[in-house]
This record gives sequence, structure tokens and C-alpha cells, in this order.
Amino acid sequence: MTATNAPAAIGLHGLRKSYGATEVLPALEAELRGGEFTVILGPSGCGKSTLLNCIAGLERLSAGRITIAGREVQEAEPKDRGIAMVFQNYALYPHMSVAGNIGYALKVARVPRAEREARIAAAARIVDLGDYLHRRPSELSGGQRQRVAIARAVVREPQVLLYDEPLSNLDAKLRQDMRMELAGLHRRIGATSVFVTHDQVEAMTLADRIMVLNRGRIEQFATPQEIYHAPATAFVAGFIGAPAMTLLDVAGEGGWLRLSDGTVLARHRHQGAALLGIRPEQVLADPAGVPARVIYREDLGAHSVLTLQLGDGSRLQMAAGPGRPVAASSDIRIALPAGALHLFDPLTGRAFARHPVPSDAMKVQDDAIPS
Amino acid sequence: MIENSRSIDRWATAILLCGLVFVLTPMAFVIVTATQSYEEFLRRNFSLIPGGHFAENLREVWTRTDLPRQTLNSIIVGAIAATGRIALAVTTSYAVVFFTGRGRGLVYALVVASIMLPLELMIITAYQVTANVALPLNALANAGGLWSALAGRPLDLQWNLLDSYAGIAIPLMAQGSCTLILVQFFRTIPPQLARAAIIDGAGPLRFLWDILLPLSKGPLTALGIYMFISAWIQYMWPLVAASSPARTMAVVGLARLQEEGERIPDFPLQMTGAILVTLPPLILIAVFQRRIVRGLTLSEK
Repeated sequence: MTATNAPAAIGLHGLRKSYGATEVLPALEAELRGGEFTVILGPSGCGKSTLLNCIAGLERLSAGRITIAGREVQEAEPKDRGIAMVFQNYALYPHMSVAGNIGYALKVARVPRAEREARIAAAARIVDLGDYLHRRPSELSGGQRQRVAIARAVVREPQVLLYDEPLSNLDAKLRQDMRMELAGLHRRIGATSVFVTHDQVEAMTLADRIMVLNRGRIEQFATPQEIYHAPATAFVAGFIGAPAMTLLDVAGEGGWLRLSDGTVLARHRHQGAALLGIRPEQVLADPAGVPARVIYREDLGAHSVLTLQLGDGSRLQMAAGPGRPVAASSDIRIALPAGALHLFDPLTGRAFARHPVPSDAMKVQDDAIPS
Repeated sequence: MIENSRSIDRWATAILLCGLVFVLTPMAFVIVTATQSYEEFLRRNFSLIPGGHFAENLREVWTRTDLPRQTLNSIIVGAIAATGRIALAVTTSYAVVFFTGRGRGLVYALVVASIMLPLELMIITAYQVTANVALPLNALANAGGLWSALAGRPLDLQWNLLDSYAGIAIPLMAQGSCTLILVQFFRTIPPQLARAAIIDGAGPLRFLWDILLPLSKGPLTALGIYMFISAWIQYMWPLVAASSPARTMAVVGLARLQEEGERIPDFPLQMTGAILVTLPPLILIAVFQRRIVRGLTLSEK
């Protein structure tokens, strides 16, 4: 079964949502392309679930318009919006069989029994649940339950599939399997998908484009590659990546970036105060580099993460490959390659005019040795 | 540890046995007395030696008193009151838990406050209103001579519900404990179920009927039986609201057996009546025992 409808774009125009005096979403503006897998990513309380509920029609907008496939839907009932939704805790009806759960929407819509059964069977096949149609949800495992929830969404042949943190109840192994299945499902049925999560791994692996949300505002809405390699704001820089990008207060003068105590960190022609961001995996050990003291070390097997203290007391994280273990409280010297530096405005958090997006992360390190 | 828990077990058993004796001794007197004839009883007073006249006594209760009819009354009134209480509780709890309307907190508080206000406290008002259901309406229309000014004379509608099943049962429905319990149960149901149902296109009534009620079957059964029994044992209100023996409820009728004549009360007859009146709730509990226990722990599995 594939969605019969053409992929539907979703437009959010001046979308505002407030609860009393608390503004959760202040005037959001975005265009989610038809057929794309959009992940809305942000810390808890950033308004991402509220945004999803607004698209679904479970919450009323305070102001603004939502269009799905060009049609204004902000006043329409959820069932008339061409959407289906998968919930965090599955939200299966415990007293109905798997088939009953999948087919409930069709039953409410008075789809004739024969057609209903055919569509239930087809939806169950898509998520590989054919043998479980007569079981109760309580007799299924977490992963199977989530598949029922997905089948329940797919059976309505929606133009838009909404996911509200659907994987957060599953264990790590299962989550990875489900990520793969969801990616496959998206390829097969081609419906526009909107997926809310706070897990950056889910965002990076599933998304065509990621919308990073912070306090109801879009920090950046771009492909995972862009988000990772060219974060638009200091917030995005600090949120994406594990371990996260280090942000340091620096001042640029005469072609050098210096810490507050005058230590020269790196070459850069930026003038004036800035937030310097650098990914831990792009910090290099360099005998001729900046002196730093290792104050903490986490060995993760494949690599270890060092927390370094610089001359002015600020801290910086560095990912070191396996091999030479570095003892805690030893002194090392590091270099921050010019190509790996991200500079942000310390007041607005916006990125200063940045270097071109590298096509390959590894190449950055090769090119990065200061000239 | 094993010895320890064993001694706890022994103590628990001993305490339970004491309780059992405490509860069952009066029951034993009831049952034994019911087997004696009036003459035996006069001769021996209360004793624990059973007689052989239970069938006789039962026949007498069945044919010479109104108790069979009154037991039927109790069943009918109990069923109406329990159904009414549950229906009110389901709709109120549904509104309180699943909707965000203004003032729902206040409504809930008022309903719960009614637990502290038993019918016995309002019995005079309740009697007046049952004697004429239109009384509040009359009072409202005649406030400040309004109706007289419009129609020439004061509004005086009459609708007497005294001595009817509805008249006994409806005032018994106004009781908030059911709502209190159901609200607690509804709050354990994940709100996402309601959201999923909305997405699936089910309206509020459809969700109530297709999802909420089937999920609440256990607690509703338990509550229903509990409410039936609590209506069954009502004394004061049925005594006041129904004056004719044909409409009186069983517990009231049982007490009235005592008033006949001036001789020493016919205790064997009364005790036989008591057994008869206790039987229907007892059967109900016996049949639904497991459901009641499961329902009262509010677990649905």
C-alpha cells in the first residue's frame, strides 16, 4: 500500500500559541516540503510537542495559519486534516485486538467491513504484524506495540504522518531497529512525515531536514549535514553532537583569536569579541600548540573524551583516538585548526559569516593544519 | 526470617479468628433464633440450641408479611438508585477529567462536598420537594410576585412523587462518592488515548462509549454493586418517603415487624425476615466477589 495522495507540503504562517500569558510559540514561520521527513528537535519545553499538536489539530492556535497541501486547516477537525499520528506511549486501546486498534478509525468513518479488513491486513503487512492481528496490545512487546501504533496511522492513508517521540519508550537496541524501519517505511509510503524528538541521533539519522527549536523559535531549519557542520547559532552548536561543541569566549585582534588572559588560541581574521565553537573531535594534539591541562578523562573504548582547562580557566573538550592514553592532570598542547572553527556573535548567538560547508568531515581535519 | 514470618502468620490468624467470632456470633443468634418457634423462644429466651421450625417461620414471613413484596421493592429501588448514581458519576467524571471547560473544578468540589451532606441532614427539604417536585419551580416563578403579575395568580404546579419508586430512588442518587472514585480511576487512563481517538475521528460520545466505558467495566461493576447495597441498607429516607406497606423497602418493613401487637416481639419471625432481606445482597457479593475486589483496587487487567 502506498499513499495515493501526492505528498503534501505543510506551511506554518505566523503560527502563535500561548497558554494564558505564557507564549510557547511566538510567530513561527516555516515550510515543510511535501514528502520530506522533517524532524523537529529541541530540549524539553521548547514547544516542539505543542507545535506538533497544533499541526494535528489537538491544540488550537492562538493566531496564524497552517496549510496542508495548500489548504488552510487551522479550523478543521483533526480527522479532516489528512493527518495521522503516532504517540509516545503508543496510546493503543487496551480492550481492542490489534486489528481493532488498526481499524478503529475506519470503523468510525464507516468504511464497509470488507474494505476495512483488507486495509487492516495491508497496514499490518507494512509493519510486519500479520500474525498478531487477534492479540491484545498487552500481549505484545514494546516494539510490536509501536508497530501497531504505526499501522493504525498508516491505515488511514494520510497525507501527513506525525510522530510524537515514538521511540523514547523503547530500549536502545530496539530504538535502532525501529529507526531503520521508520526510514524504510517513509521511503515506501512517501507521506510527508513530521517527527518530534529530543534525541539528536534520531534527528540526524532520520531527517531530510531538521528544525531545531529553542523556546518556541526556530534556531535553524536545514539538512543534518548543515546543522552539524554549519550551525547557524551557538544554541544549535551546543545542542548537536555528542560530546557537544565547546563554546569559548574569545576576542579577535590582528589575525589571532585570544582568550581573556591573552593566550593565543588560533588564527582567524575576525575582529572583536566572539563565541568560538569547536567540535571535540576536531581538536588536535600539537606539540607547538596551546598549552592545556587534562582535568578529566572518559575512556569510551573507541575513543576517549578529555576535558581540558585552558590558561584563563575556561574548559574545552577534546576527543582523542585510542592508543596513547593521556593521564588525567597531565599537560598537553593542542591546536584548533582554522577550518574547524565556528564563530558566533556573543550577544545574539548568530553565526558570523562562516567558512564553506565541507563535504566530508574527515577532510576538515586534513586541511586544518594551520598554514 | 522464616520463623519470624511464621509467628506473624500465627498472630494474624489468631486476630482474624477473634474478628470472625465477633462478627459471626450475632449472625449465629440470628440463624438459630430463626429456627425456633415463638413458643420455644418464649420458653427458652435467646439460646444457641437450634429448633426445627425454620421452614414454618419462612412460610409465615412469605405469606403473612409484606416482606417478599418489600424485598422486590428494595431490588427495584436499589437498581434505580445504583444506575442513576453511576450514570451521574460517569458523566460528571468524564467532564471533570477529560474536558477543560471553565468551572469544572468548582463543579467537582461541589459534588464531592455532597458526600459530607447525607440525605438524612436534608430530610425535611427532601420530603417537601418529593411531595411536590415543582416546588422549586413555583418558588422561583413566584419570587417577588412575578408570576402573579404576569398570569393573575401565583404559579402552583403539583407533582407528588411520595410513595413511588422514583420518589424513593431519585433523592438517593444525589451522592458524590461515586464521582470521587470514578474521577480517580479516569485519571489513571492515559490522556493520549483520548487524543488518539480524536485523531481517529471519534467524537466525545463515541470515545465515551467505545473506549472509556469498556475500559471502566471493572470499576463500574464494583461501584454498581457497592451503590446497590448502600441503597439497600437505607432506612431513614425510605421510612419517610414511602408510607404504604406496598411501597416500603425491605429494611423498613423488617423494622416494622416489631411494631405489631403488644406482646413480646416475635423474634424468630423477625430473624427469619432478616435472613430473607440479607440474602439478595449476599448473593450479589458472592457472585461478583472477585470483580468487586479487583474493581475497588482500580486495576484493569
